[in-house]
Amino acid sequence: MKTSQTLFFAFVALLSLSACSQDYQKLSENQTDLRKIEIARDFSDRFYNTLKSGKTYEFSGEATEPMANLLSADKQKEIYQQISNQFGHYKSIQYAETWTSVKQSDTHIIRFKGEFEKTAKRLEIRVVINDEGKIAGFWIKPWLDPLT
Amino acid sequence: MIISLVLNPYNRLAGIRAIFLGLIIHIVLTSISFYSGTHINSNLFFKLASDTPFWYFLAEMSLHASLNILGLIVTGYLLSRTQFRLIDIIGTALFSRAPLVLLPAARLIPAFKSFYVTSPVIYILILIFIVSVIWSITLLYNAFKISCNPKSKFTNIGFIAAMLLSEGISQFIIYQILP
Amino acid sequence: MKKLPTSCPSCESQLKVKQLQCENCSTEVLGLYELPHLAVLSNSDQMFILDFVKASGSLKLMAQKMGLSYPSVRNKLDEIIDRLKDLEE
Repeated sequence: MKTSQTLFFAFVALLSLSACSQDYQKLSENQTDLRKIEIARDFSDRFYNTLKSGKTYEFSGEATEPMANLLSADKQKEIYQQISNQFGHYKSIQYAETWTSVKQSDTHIIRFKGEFEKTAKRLEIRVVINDEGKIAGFWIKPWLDPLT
Repeated sequence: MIISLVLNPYNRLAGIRAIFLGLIIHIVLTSISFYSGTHINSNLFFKLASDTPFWYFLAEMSLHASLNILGLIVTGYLLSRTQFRLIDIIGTALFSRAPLVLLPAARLIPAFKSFYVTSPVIYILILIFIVSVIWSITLLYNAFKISCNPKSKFTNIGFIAAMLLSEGISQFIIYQILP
Repeated sequence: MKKLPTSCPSCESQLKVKQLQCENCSTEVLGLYELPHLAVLSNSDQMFILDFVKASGSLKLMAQKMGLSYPSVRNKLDEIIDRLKDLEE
């Protein structure tokens, strides 16, 4: 009985410790900013659909300057070429969750699951929206449940 | 007595009954894995991702189980001096996957579902995985010994070789052939 | 019922039958006879063989009667077969 009690309390302590130590935390449904999610979803969908049609996406102030400069026309073509070769063309996007940095709570990391034609696996489309409501980060990577 | 039953129930359980229980375990394991987003398609690693539909989880787990069983059947034919029944090795090997349910079941706890990668939660999950795999492989080894009754000095090597080979083939199919 | 000793308590070699007696007319037969292979087996092995014959050679029935799995019973039979083969050699 004593050993099992000790194990139980150790388990609870470890869980509490794990809750305290994170640099990022997941937002509950009440805490999420629907406007930011909509901005992120809209951008991601338009971005990939534009690339799918063979054109390149033109930024019009929805992203930060460094972000827009990073995703030049050539870069966009290169990225989409790699994605479509491996996973097929973009199909759709589905909101998954929102995280925020403990230090910068106005910046939201919004995670979507993207569906592509050639694979049954959904990929993560990650959009970072800063405190101004602009896109400050944009990734595509294999989906993992833990935030990496 | 309980420990010996937990590590080797096959003195009392084999044949059709084991196949029936093994199939139930397989469906339960696949379902819980799907709902918790835990891919256990290997004895060496796991993936935490709710990224594929149910049929994909079923396919990869069935593939992994089938290749393990096939490896043991082939090894049994090579090392056993007497005939054995396929339903015994299939049933007991399927049943041996029961401990693998520990990790996906743990992932149903919200704190273990979604976390930042540096959280200690990952170490707890790794520990659970190691315990469940060791338990499962112990059961599998006992299943192999009881069902095939190998009497060769190469029994242990044969078992390890069968596991490694089936592991390699299943990983190749899952990551190179499945969409 | 007394257990028939099969190995020497001094050096553990296999014992042989030297004297047989008729309970009816007190005739004694002296010689040196090998014990039958079945008699050399342990009590549990002998009971297993008797039960196996009574079950008409059905391992399935044996498994049901003994409350064990089929492969466990078959493995026990394999062990007895190996012991008998060793005795024959």
